[in-house]
Amino acid sequence: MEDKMKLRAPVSQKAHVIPIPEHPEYIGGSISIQLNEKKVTVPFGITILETCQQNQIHIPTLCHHKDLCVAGVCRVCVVEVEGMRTLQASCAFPITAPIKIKTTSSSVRRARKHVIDLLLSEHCGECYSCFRNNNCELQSLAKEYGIDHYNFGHIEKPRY
Amino acid sequence: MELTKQKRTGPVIFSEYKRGDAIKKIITMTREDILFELKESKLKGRGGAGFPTSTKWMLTAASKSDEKFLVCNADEGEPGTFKDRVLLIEYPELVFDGMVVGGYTIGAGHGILYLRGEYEYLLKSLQDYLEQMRKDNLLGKNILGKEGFNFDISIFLGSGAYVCGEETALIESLEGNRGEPRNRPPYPISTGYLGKPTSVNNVETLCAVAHIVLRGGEWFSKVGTDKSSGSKLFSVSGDCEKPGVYELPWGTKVSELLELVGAKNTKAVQIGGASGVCIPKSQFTRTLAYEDVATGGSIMIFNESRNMLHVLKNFMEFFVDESCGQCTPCRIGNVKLLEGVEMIESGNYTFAHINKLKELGKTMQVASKCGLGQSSPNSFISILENFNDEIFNSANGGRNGR
Amino acid sequence: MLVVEKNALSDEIESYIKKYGDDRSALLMILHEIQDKHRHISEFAQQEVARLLNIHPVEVYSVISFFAFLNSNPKGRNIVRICQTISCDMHGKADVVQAIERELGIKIGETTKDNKFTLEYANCLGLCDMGPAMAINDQVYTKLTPEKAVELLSKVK
Repeated sequence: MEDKMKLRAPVSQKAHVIPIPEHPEYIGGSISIQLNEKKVTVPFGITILETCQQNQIHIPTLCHHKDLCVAGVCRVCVVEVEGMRTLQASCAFPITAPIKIKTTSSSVRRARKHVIDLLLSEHCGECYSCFRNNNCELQSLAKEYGIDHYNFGHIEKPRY
Repeated sequence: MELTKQKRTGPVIFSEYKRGDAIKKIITMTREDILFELKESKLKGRGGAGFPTSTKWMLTAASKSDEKFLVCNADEGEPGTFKDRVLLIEYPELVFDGMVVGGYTIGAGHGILYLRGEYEYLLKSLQDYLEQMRKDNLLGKNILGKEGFNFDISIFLGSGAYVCGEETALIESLEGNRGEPRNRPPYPISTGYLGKPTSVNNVETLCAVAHIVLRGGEWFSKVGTDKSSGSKLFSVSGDCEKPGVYELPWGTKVSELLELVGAKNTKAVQIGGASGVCIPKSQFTRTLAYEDVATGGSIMIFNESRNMLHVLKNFMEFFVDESCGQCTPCRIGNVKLLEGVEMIESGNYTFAHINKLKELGKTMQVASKCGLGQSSPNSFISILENFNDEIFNSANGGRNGR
Repeated sequence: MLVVEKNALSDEIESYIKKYGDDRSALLMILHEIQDKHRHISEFAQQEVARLLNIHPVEVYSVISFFAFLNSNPKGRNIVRICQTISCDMHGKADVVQAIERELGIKIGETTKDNKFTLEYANCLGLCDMGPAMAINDQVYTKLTPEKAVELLSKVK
């Protein structure tokens, strides 16, 4: 965690890393949140994504990688946090208050679908001749969210 | 250049004020007194989002740090907004006194005026003005002889990026990075410029603050409506006889404003700049207030001869140009919306596709990282809905339904 | 670039560092100064700034490429920016642009052959009540007509 903060990257590309307390069992070290109708207790400052991973809830991610700084820009990992007007990127949202999270509401699914659709519309992928065919995160995400055709067009030629 | 001081009148900001009045008043007050007055006044941020200023300053004042910053956001890139230019040219005393009051309230030692690059021609006069204030001991160490009240203001010049009006992007560019918005939380009130608590306020908010501390919060809250107190500067442009900056109390009806500026044959009014909403004639009875049509102050008036599709295309081109390119919905979504507008223009569209784009717009409103992507589909959705008939029937040779 | 020129540029950048400090937050102000003086920020200048601020040159380039007013390629001596926002557009921006393009013999985004003018669009100059507006370097001109715009350009050195 500490190393991530020292990385020389723009702050916009960093998540707010709150050091996780050494003893979460002490008072103030953990927080009770509601995760899809389920009550869980998590350490203070953990991100929503990590919480979900620990609770066997699958959240798709693309720009998140443990060796990279947290950017929160692909917006595939958005979840609904009750009381907030907009959807929040789960990889960059530290839990510091008792919140209610919904990971599969209709607005979340629609947003993810649109994001994947937009990414595909810019993606000049000749999947059948691609090395990663059938072993591709974008492909499997598109399949999972039922995107079987290009809703917003598709570029024919690579831009470079 | 016709940028001379005009005679303006208004209930709050354009009322009478002498340089240093607010500073002379606050050195007799405690921080709690000022916060109380602000709370009483129910002042909300004038940049457009409408966050209560008293809450913002209270939180910034409460966060513990050896150094705090107050940033005045004069990066008004919103098309159709020019109130900050008028305030900085004609009322610099209000802006800077407001900054000193803010610095005193939150305990900041340093204020930064973020001036947009397009206003570089104001830089010289503003710096001269600050120098004059330092001479009169309204800035610097022990202001007006009050022990331990140190505050200084520097001016930072932006470089022509609309997204830097977003507070976290503004802080990024102050730090010398690309002006890309940060993830929120954390909010700047706890982790802002150089990781220190920072309060970012609009120029107009600070001007209002200078008047509030002088005359009390109660006086301010009597102007305007219940939920939106005070007055607002409206930058009126477009098809009218008297474009310019007007100060009107909140709760003014759109039709009243149109009458005041001498607009005739008005077809549509774009409220809140390119990222605002466009309302047709039938909705001119709506009021300008946070509870009805909230706005950052830009009013663009279009008369009967204007082609709304052309207007929409201009807005979408603006957003495609100014999107910072970080998050997917804003980077690609705006391009798709622009493509949709071009399709309508050339007549190569299907309603199924346009409806898909409207859905996409709604996703962008909730899934984008910052305010730019969240508000860019507003004009797309509102213009296509409110001017459905004009765009799809009368224009393009009446293709619809034939 | 001659060695003498390089040395002069290094000295100049060092003087800016003295003025604004060697913190990363001084970067934009330093780039502004270089841009104002040389009309562009050359690759060598980028490397010098990066070296003196102790950051990677590509970070300097990333900042330059982000902002509309900073550029790494040389442009004309005078940059003409015409506001393309709708309120200026409605008051006859198109005619002004046409007149300027005809007068200078270039299109938007191009530079004249004598390197005197670069013509660009800008997003909202904040002069919507007095449109159409145009900025030549950092001076703004309002309520343009095609004739007035051409006359203004002829006065520029």
